[in-house]
Amino acid sequence: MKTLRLRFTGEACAACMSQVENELKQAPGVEDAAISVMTGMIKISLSEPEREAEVRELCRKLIEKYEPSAQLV
Amino acid sequence: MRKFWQRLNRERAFKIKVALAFFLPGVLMSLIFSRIWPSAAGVWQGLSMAFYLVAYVLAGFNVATKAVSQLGKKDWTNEYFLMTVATIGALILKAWAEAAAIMIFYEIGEYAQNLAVERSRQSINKLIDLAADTALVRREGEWVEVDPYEVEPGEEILIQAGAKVPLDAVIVEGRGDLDTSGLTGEALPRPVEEGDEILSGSLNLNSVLVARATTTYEDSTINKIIELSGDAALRKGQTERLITRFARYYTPTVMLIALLVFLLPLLFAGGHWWVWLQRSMNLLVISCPCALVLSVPLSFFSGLGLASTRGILIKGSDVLEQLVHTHKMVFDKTGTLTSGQLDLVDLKLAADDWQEDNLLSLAHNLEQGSAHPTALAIRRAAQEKITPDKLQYYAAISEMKELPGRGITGKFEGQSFYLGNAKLMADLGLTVSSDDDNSTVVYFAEGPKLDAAPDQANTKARLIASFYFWDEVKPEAITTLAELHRLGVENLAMYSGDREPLVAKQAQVLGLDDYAGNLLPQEKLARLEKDIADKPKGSAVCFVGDGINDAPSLSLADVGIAMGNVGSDAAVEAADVVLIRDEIETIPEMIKISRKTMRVARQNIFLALGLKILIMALSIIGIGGMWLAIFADVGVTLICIANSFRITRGSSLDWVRSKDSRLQTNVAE
Repeated sequence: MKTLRLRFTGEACAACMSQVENELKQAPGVEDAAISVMTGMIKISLSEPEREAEVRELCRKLIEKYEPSAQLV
Repeated sequence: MRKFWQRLNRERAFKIKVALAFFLPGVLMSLIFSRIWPSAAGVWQGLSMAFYLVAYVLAGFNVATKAVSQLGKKDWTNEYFLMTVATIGALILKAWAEAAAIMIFYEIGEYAQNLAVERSRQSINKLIDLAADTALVRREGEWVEVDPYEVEPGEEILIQAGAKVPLDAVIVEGRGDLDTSGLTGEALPRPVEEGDEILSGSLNLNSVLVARATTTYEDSTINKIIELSGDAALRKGQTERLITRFARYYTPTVMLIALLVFLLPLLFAGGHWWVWLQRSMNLLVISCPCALVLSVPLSFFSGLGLASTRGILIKGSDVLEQLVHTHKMVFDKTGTLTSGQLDLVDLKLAADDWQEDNLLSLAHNLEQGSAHPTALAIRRAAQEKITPDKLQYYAAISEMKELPGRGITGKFEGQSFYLGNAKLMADLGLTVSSDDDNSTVVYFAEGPKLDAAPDQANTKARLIASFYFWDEVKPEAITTLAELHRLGVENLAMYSGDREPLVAKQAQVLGLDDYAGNLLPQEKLARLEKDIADKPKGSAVCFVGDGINDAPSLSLADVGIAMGNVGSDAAVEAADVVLIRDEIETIPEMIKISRKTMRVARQNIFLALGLKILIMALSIIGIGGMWLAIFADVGVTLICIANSFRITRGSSLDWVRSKDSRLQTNVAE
C-alpha cells in the first residue's frame, strides 16, 4: 500500500471535487482517495503502487473535466 | 503557490474596484442625473450606457472566455455559459445595468469565497511557518547549515536567539526562554535550561542554545503536527458525506425542474419563450450546489484550525462530530487526575522493638533499586527526615530481590526483611487488616529469625510496620470535571490499578460518577468495552490517557484523547485527539470548540439550502432576475463564510490569566 499525496491550486468547487474524489475511489489500483478543498490536498491510497503514474494522470484528467479552474501542482 | 493564489485574488479585487468605478457612476447618471437635468436626459442615459458597458466588459470578460472554453468541451450547463447568455440577453433587451450587475456581483462573490478559503488556510500556514528551513549542526567541530531533514538523532544543533527550534532536542548548553505559543497557545514564555526537552516549532527567544536532537525531522513534533493537521482536513465526517451525497441528487433534480419550467408553460400556457427561458436559466444557475457543499468543510476547518492553535489536535471532523455527543469520559488516573506522585503520609509501627527512624532508614535502603512510586515516596520521606549518617548505618543490604507483584526483600545483618503488599504478607503467613482504607499501604515485615531455636516463638515472620501513602488529586482536575459536568457530559469515570479504597476516596473528592480500582490493564479495557456497549445511541465514550500502555484503550474508545507533549508515539498513533498542553483544562475547551463548530456547520447548511429553495421558488414565479439566482450561490457563500468566522473570532480574544499565572480561556458559547 502506498500513499500518494498531490496538491492543487486555483478555484475549486467542493461539489465538483467530490465527483473527482468519487471517480478516483473507483479507479483500478486505488484503495481510497480523499480530497480537501480547504487545504488543496489530495491523498490517495494505492493498493497497487505500480499504477502510480496512471493514477496521477487520471487525477489530472478528472480535475480538468470536473473543475477546470483548478490544476494539479 | 500560496502567493500565486493571493496575487490572483488581489488582481480580481482590483478588477472589481475598477468595474465598480464605472458601474456606480453609471447608476448615478441613469437614475439621478437624468432626473435632475431632464433636458440632458438623453446624454446622461447614453453616457451611463457606456459606463455600464465598460463595467460589464471589465467584470465579465473572464467569465465569457471561460464560457467559450467550456463550450469547446461541449459543456453548456456551467455557470459561465449561463451567465454569458443571460447577460447577452439582458443587453439585447437594453438592460445594461442588469448585465453589468450580474457580472460584478459574481466576481465579488468569487473574490470573497477565495479570500475566505485563503483565510481559513491561515491556521495551517501558520503551523508550516513554525517549521525551520535550516538547522545548524555540529559536524567535524564546525557548525554547518543543513536542511533539517538531514540531521541525525544524537547530533548537536545550535539554536540562535530569535531562531526557530528545528528539531525536538535536549539542551546540553545554555539557558533561556522559549515561545511555544504557536504550538500550544500558551502565551507565557517557557524558561528552559540544560537537561530540558525542547520541541521543534517553538521559538528560541533570547539566548543561544546548544541541544542534542532526539528524533529525525520526520518524527519531530512540528512535522507530526503539520501532517496531522493536513490529514485532518481530508477526513470527512458524517455531515460532510451526507451533504455531498445530497448535492449529487440536488443538481440533476433542479436541472430537471429547470427543463420543466421551460417546457411546460410553453406547451400548456403559451407565453413568451424568452421569459421562461430566463427563468429556466436562473434555475440552472441555482442548480450549482457549491455554496452548500463548501459550507461544511469550511466550518469544520475553522473549528479544527482554532483547536490546533490551542494545542488541541483533532484528527478529523468525524472525531469532532463525536465529541459533541460525549456521554461518558473515562480518565486514566495517575498523572492525569492525580499528581502521579505518592507521598508517605503515615507510618504505623506494629512491633515495639523497632524505632520509627531506624525502620524508615532500613526501608529507604531496601527500596534503593526500585522505581515504584511507593519506593520513591519512602526514599523521599527518609531523606527529608533522617540524617545521612543514620541512613548510612542501614546501608549494608545483601541479597536484595524484587518480587514481582509482591514487593521487595533483602537482608540486613543476616536478618531478612520484606517490604510489599498484602499478598506478600500472606505469603509469609501474616494476615493484615487495613484499618485505614483510604490509602495505599505497604507492609514491612521481618522474616523468621535465623538463629532462633526451632521451638521458639520467633520462627515466624512478623509485621513490624505499615506505610500509608496518598496520591494527591490535582486541584485543576476538580474544577475541570465540574466544568465537564456543567457542559453536559453525564458520566465521568476514573479507572485505576491502585487500591480500591484509595480510588474510591479520590473519586469522591473529584466528584466522579464512576470509578474502579484494583484493575489490571486487561480489566480496564474490558470495562471500557462495556461502557461502549452500554452507551446511549448516538453518543460517544471518550478515554483520556497519557501513557504508552494506554494505547489499547485509546484505540478502543470512540474518541481516544492522548494527553501530554505528543510524547509516546504509540499513544499518538492510537489516539483521535492529541493534547499538546499537558493540562486537563484543555478538555472542556475541546468540547466547547467542537460544539460551536457543529452548530455553525448546521446553521450554514440550513441557510444555504433554505435560501436556495426560496430563491428557486421566486425564480419560478418570476421574481428577481439572474442576479438573484447568483445571490443564491454567492450571497449564501458569503453568509456561510461570515458565520464560520464566528468560530475563530469569538475565542481568540478571550484569554484570561488568573493569579497563579495559569492560563484560562473562555470560548464563547
